[in-house]
Amino acid sequence: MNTPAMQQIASWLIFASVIGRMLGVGQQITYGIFFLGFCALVASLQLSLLSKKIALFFVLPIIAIQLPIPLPTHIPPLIRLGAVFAIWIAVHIALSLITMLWEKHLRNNVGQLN
Amino acid sequence: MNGMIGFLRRQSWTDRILLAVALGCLIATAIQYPLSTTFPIGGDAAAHIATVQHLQTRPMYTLNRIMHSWYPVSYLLFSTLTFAPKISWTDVYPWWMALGQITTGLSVGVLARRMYGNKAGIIAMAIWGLTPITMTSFFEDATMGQLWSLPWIVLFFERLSAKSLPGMAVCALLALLSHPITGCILLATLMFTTINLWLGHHKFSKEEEIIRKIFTWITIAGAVTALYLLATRFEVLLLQSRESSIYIPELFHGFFYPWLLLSILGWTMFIILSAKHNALTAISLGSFFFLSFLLAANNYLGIGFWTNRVNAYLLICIVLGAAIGFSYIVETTKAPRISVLAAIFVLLGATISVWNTNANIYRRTESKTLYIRIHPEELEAIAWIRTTTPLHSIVFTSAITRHYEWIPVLSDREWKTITLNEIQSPKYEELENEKYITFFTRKERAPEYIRNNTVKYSLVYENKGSEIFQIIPTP
Repeated sequence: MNTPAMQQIASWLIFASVIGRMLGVGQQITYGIFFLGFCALVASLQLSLLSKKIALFFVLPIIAIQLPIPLPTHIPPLIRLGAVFAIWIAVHIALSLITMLWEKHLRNNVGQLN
Repeated sequence: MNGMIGFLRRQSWTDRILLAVALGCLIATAIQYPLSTTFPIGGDAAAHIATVQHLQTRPMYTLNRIMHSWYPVSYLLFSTLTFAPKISWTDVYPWWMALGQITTGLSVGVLARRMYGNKAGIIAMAIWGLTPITMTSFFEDATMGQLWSLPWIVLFFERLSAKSLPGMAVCALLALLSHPITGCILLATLMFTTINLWLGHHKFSKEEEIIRKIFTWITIAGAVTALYLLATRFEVLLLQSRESSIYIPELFHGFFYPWLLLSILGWTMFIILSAKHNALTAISLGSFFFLSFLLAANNYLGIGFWTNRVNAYLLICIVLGAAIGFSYIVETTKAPRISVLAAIFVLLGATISVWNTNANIYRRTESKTLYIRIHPEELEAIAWIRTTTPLHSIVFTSAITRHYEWIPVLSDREWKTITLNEIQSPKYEELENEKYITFFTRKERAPEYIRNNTVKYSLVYENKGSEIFQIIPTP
């Protein structure tokens, strides 16, 4: 299937999921339709390495709330908040560094496969 | 004006209708608050009015109060209303809050337009119109300082996207001086952005290179200031708070969930497009999203620090993403008229739903059987103090309800909170001013030792909701 047609189908699927949710259709069904549309859309687009790096900003906080770090509760909340921020920022920096090194590796090896 | 007319002429008729609907949605839910309430709601309203109300009569005293407050810019803007003829602060306050909501919506629209075009800007305004009460607590908590700080942080990113250094500087300064939380989040965003700029080979234009250098200096200055504050004000870090977010469940499972879905799509599209052309803005907005999300959902991290207070910043990110996502769908469905009409149907439907939900909440705050906002009997008692007591009288109350905070605002008399045992203290006995002690009886009754001691405490005013005793000096 060509890319514009796939993007169009993806858009209609996402639109249907949003309107469906507003009209009271179940959350899992609407999420399923949205997920299908979203996957179709991402598949039809080309993500650069920089795009993937920027996407970390949006993906990591969602992972963070799924995996709460068990910090001792007797520590004051602001210090715990600071610690959580420091940990996740460190994770972000580590992943960014990996992306950067990967980018460098690709740049240094351009054309070597041929 | 001509530019605005020219802009409207260049739009298709469907876009013009969409703009009219979006502005209607934004304005309707904002002005619903002043139209539905007869008195400001929220504990902080009295404090905000008290800070600015004497600008004309006592300018140096008022300016001094404003400059030593946490929100000087927000107060300076609010104080301009002093120059309006015959102003009633309690009438104008809800309208000022509504204007803050509309201004924030317009600035979110301007940023979304800069990020993804006209349609995204128009849709962003309508989606921001869905947020009062259901997704933010500005109206209910009367947090004017924070509400009026949001346009500046939003416009900062808009100016960053336009690579306008003077605009960025002005907006950053206004945001920092409008509300400390907004200022801290902006500063933290710039610092996080700088770290990310260090980690990568980005090709920047001349202007972007200057901005990057300034960000580096801000990061160094911010880090030094943070270390200094840690060393000198360590007690701030010991602040206690344990609250779960009432808005995050609405976002993940409630009525705002469809906008969250659209937001995922919108940010994906923005990342793909801007990573090539405007990496600096994309990294800055990504950093803002990262910090706002972790802050707003910090109760899910096992903390629960001021979650409801910091929700607005995440909401701005969701609205921006949703507007871009919605705009992308409308443009790619290849059926412009049908998709725009469907968009209008969705935005109008959601606004009507929010209007109905909020109407119930406003009716509840107006209810005389509940003790949510100050009651008419209590206002009558304050009016009596204003008209009957001498100008230099002191009015004492306990601190059991924040409704007492309206006494100095509406009566223009000095007001002190004390514990009921303190009232017998000699230090108050020595005061030469006439002294009164007031009770709002829906919350507390005068204790027996005041009620029975008619020689010392004379009941001078009483109605269904209040009692005022004059404290007779000992001869």
